[in-house]
Amino acid sequence: MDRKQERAFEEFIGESGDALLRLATLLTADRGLGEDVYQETLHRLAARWSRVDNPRAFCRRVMHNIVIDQGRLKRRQVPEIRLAEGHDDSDPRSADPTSAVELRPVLFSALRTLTPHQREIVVLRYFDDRSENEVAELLGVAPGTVRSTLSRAVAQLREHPSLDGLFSHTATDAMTRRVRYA
Amino acid sequence: MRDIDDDVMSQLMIQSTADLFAGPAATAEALRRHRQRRLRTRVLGVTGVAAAAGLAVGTLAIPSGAASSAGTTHIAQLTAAQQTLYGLSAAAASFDRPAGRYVVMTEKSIDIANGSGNDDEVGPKTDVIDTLTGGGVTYQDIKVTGANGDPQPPAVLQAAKGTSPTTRQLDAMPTSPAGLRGFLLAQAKQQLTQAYAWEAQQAKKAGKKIPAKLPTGPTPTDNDLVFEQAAGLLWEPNLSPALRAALYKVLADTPGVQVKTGARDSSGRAAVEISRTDQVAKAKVETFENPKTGATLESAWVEPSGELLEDLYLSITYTNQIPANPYRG
Repeated sequence: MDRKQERAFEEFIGESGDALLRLATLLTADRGLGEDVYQETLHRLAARWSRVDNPRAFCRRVMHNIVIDQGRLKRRQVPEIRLAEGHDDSDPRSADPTSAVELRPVLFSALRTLTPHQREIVVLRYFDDRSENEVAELLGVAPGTVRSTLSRAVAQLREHPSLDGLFSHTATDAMTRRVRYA
Repeated sequence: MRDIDDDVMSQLMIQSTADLFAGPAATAEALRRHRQRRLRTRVLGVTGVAAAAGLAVGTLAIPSGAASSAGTTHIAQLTAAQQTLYGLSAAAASFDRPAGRYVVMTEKSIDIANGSGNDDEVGPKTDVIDTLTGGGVTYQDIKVTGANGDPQPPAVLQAAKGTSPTTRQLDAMPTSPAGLRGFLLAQAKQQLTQAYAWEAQQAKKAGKKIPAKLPTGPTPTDNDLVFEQAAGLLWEPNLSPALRAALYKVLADTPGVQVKTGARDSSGRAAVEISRTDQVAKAKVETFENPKTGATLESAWVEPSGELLEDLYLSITYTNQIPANPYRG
């Protein structure tokens, strides 16, 4: 990587870094592990920067490899839910930090009841907005498998006590009003 | 109902991570490590796989107090590993450096990403190093293998002046083992300081809050730094015989260095494998040497994840003219 490529790398991370960190955090359902996966992904991206033509797709693949490689994540114990998650109040970009801090332990405890494979499919589909075909291609499975895994996983999440009540009209309306799309 | 569930899922995920922002430290760390690794791997070619047949003859275990008393004082108590390194030193000292302004080195790089489907084989390529200016050119005949359809890299890369050490710079380095060790250590520490300063500058430029102290983690030991610098210099094709000979003696006095005789490089050439695992990054750096000439055959870098990067040096010649691109036409 020369200086110009380094700047392009920095620009890409400037644009996509937040989304990649959030993706890694959801894939692991753990903030600390998510940060580790994010850092490792940047290392691998930097190593291949001059040969990667779609960095977002490359990062998605790297994260898939890291997260599905169980031995790697098991090296670190998954900590209990962090009830008192630190938040930097001084960051003006955190428009509505309270809801994220409150919501995260709830959603993550539900996500942790899924297998890493199920969780990845749910996160890629609903957070990263990938089509079922794209998810199928990335994971090397049939689109039908993605569809059936999704419906089972969502059904399982609906039954989870901490998400109880969120999957109703009232809750959805309330959520819709609160959510701000960046 | 299904649509509503989908929306709720998306909204839950977006909202529960909306307060997470990627700081500049991760980017800076990735770039810093990449820069260091690139500099080192260019020179260090190693392959753990090829060395499996090698015979372990021992690990250097020198009391730290003795580390600086390099050279002749304890030759009588040399371990087998040290004897092997002194043998390489003697072999290197007996080979003259050819004449010619340009060093032409052909090599091949392999990146084995531990079963992740991102394996790359790059090469062969031909580096032309201008020993007067440190600049040069690299011709690449690149086939990228891998599942993700990476684009073709450029066929010709120009290297700016100062990219490689010049003959004058190399010949100004000390050639006594103790002097060279001190020089390499000072050089490594200076490079570390510069890397951290750069990191801080980048964070500031990005308009991010800079922590009072940048996260540095565990610090590399002096022996880590000396080995990295020495191994990073060994692959340079243009070392004087005296400097190459001194480098092997520095390695012989560095605790933690492992030496295997009877090894082979990844192309099957007979080699002495010299390796050491970094105490901080836990990356293993390996370098394979020709036992008869003390020339470096291959450098390798093994990440803790198992990812393996290796550079195989195929030939080194000297000329007085920049050769044409051997892969064109």
